[in-house]
Amino acid sequence: MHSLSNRSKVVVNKEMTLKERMYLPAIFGGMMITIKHFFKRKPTIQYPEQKKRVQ
Amino acid sequence: MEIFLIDKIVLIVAVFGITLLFALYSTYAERKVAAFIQDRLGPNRAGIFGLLQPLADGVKFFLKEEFIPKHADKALFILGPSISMTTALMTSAVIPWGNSLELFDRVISLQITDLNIGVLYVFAVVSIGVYGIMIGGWASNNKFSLLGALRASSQMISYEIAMGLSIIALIMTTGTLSLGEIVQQQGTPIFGISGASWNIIYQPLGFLIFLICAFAECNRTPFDLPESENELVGGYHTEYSSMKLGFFLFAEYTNMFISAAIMSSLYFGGYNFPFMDQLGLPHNLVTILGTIFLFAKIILFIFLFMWVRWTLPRFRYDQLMRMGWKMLIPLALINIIITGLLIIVLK
Repeated sequence: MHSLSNRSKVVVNKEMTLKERMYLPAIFGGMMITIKHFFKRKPTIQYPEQKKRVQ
Repeated sequence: MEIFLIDKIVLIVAVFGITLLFALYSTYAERKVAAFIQDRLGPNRAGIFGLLQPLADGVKFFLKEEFIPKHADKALFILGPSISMTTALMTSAVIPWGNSLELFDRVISLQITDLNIGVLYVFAVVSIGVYGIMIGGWASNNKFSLLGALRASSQMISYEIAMGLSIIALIMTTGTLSLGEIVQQQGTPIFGISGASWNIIYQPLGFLIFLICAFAECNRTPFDLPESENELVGGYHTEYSSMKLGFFLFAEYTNMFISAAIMSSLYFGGYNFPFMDQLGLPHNLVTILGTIFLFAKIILFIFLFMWVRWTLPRFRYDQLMRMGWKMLIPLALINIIITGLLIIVLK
């Protein structure tokens, strides 16, 4: 069937592979992403003390 | 005898205080870790780096209104959080917090009591901990609380089996149930490095199972179904307020600290650290260094707990049960068989 918006995605219900079913590789990958964010510089501007210059 | 009692009382008070301090600052660490992982700064207003935040939270908890719902069973309602907190603190009695100190011409062991069934004791106390949650959820007379309590108890019972089975494999290699002896054995040299024959080398699969079950036992993400806020409002502690809620939350952090300590003792050498006997340092200094190493391991484990919590989403309930019964229990049984075979072959 033709979709109206042309943005529809076909969902693939394929069986998970053994690697996916073990969860652990994916969990490890996720944890690597979060640890990267852990050490990132934070973009927070702490308002009353720090002020951003308005152009 | 009196001197012995005084030693023990001092040790008990110290362990009690340290456990509570760790639980207190775990709440702060949790918020900081969460914030850092989400590119925020976290609490930083109360004191330097926000270090007084836990105290402010504690004061706030005490000042909140103490509310008991009209249809709740008052006695059980109060009993619930008390059981949770008591059992969370009881386990620390058998954990060896360090080797022994030679002070005032006598040897002081840094373990409150070296029960010869230490591991069993830990399991017994942990299982009683479920009652706190169950009684609290039941006494609230609220469907959300009851559902949360039901989930908590079934989840903990399911994962306790796999946890027990993974421990059986460990006990087969160590040959003792006493935590003190298990830690001492890990101090024997391996490849010429003293204090490095940690059980993780012999039981990697067992440790993985134990770690997953520990997450489930502590009701931490991805297994925090009992308090899933978007389905059950707050789970078993929906009706709780003020310090009774504080006790439930505090018990969770205490449990986390204790299970981190147990994992470090069972699998990561406890107070042993590499080259501990080869440094040529006096016995007391080695003991103190060992205790510092133990706490470093505990802190790393607590960080792991938090890191996982702020990385993973929650399991669905059927996934949780399937994982416990159909994956972890068979895996733990296989681990026991492999361990048994290896013991026979290597002897």
